[in-house]
Amino acid sequence: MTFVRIRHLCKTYWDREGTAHPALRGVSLEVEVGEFAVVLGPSGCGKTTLLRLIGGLDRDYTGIIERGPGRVGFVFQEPRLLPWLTVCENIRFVLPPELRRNADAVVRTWLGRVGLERYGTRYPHELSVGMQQRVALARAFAVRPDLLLLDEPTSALDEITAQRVLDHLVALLIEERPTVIMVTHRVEEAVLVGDRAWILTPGPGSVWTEVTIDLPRPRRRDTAFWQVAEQIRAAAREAANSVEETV
Amino acid sequence: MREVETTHGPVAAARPTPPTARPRLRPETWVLAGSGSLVAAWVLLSAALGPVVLPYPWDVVEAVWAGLWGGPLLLHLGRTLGRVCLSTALAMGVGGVVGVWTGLDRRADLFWSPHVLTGLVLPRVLLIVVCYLLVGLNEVAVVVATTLSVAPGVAVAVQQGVRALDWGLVDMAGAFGVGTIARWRRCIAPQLAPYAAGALRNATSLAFKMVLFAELMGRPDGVGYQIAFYFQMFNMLQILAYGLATVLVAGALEFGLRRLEHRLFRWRPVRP
Repeated sequence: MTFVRIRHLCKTYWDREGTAHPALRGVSLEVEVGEFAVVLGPSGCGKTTLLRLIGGLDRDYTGIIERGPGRVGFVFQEPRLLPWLTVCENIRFVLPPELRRNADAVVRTWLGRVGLERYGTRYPHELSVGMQQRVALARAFAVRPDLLLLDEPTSALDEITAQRVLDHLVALLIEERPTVIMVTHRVEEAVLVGDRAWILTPGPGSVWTEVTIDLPRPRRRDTAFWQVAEQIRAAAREAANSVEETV
Repeated sequence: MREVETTHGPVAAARPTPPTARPRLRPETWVLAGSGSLVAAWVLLSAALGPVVLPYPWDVVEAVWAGLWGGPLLLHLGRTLGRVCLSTALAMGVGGVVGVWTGLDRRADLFWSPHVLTGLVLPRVLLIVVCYLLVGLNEVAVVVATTLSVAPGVAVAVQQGVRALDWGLVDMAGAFGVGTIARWRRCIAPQLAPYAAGALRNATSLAFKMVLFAELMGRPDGVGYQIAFYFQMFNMLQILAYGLATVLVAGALEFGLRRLEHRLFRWRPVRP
């Protein structure tokens, strides 16, 4: 069953001089219920724009975006915690009314699941960036999302911290299984967590191809893993070359 | 590797020294020192010019005390304070709305910029005279002149705050389906608060100066009127007594606003 259906999606930004800057051109894709979809592409190909459009943060586009009912959780590239609220208050702030009755328990549970139960009364600036991103992860899961949107959630982190955040993400996904759309430019990350990868051409982004990642979970970096990774890399190279040939 | 020779040998020399305690900053010491230097300068000047020309601080304090308990000082101070508070509140309201509006909407910014610019550069005395002539020598003229004089500064400060907003936080709230009112209350208002607090402190201080000037020119009461009255009588002691009382009240207001600011922004990282 399809949860997100996108048809011929186009998005153009306009600068002050009135010049058009197309970000997405005719993007079409479908994401099934409970699927972990990864959108891969180089910087500037419109990945974040695509996620913002799906999340309803920008309604200025042409084409069709159909989304199943339910709540949305969002993890951004940077933690985006409100600095004047404590960690607990940050999570409580986004809770929908039906979850606010047990807000304390909900907050405690999710902080525990990302290993930060002792940091609830701290302000964001008192935590490291990696810890802040784990709070952002807890916040996104605390709303019990039907659709989880991840915008390069580890891109601002060093490799070790990124791996730790990714481990938490995988652990949470195994238990919760929401429909997920993650954008990233890291092939290895995509193979580690995704069910299917959509490869975008460099800007303006359009879907070049899709690759099914049919590997057992939990995933290990074995031969099959690297074969899929190489397949995706080859597709990404083709996508980049296609634009260069056109130019 | 170079070895450091000491009486205990190279290993002992490489041992890290224990961290020494950082000397604690005592803010009250510095504030007291600053206040003391002011009073000392006053005393020296009084001694140099003579107490008839410039009375000693303790004589002025005695005059304030006498004015508070037996004289009309409290009444005049109250009138001035009332005008200042009303004008500041109006200026914060008008300036705040204009600041948010012009910060969010480019067309509004273009439309209101001549008004704001005129308000900023217009000489205060001109504003008071024009208001007295148009409205008459009454309370409304004082409040209107002060409000018009203070509001442009507030508008500019708030506009800067709106332009510096981190919309990523508002986006985040929108992505989670947080309502508009909660978004304004929790994401936008706290970001504007430091700008509004700064604007309020400036507005209060400017309003004090404006109201005193307006009272001096055309009111039958208030600290400004009393200063003008004692000026005509060459009574330096009473002029300084009213001046000191005003400074103390304005200082207390400033102190209160600082405490409020401290309470509102306690989430901020502590500066070492």
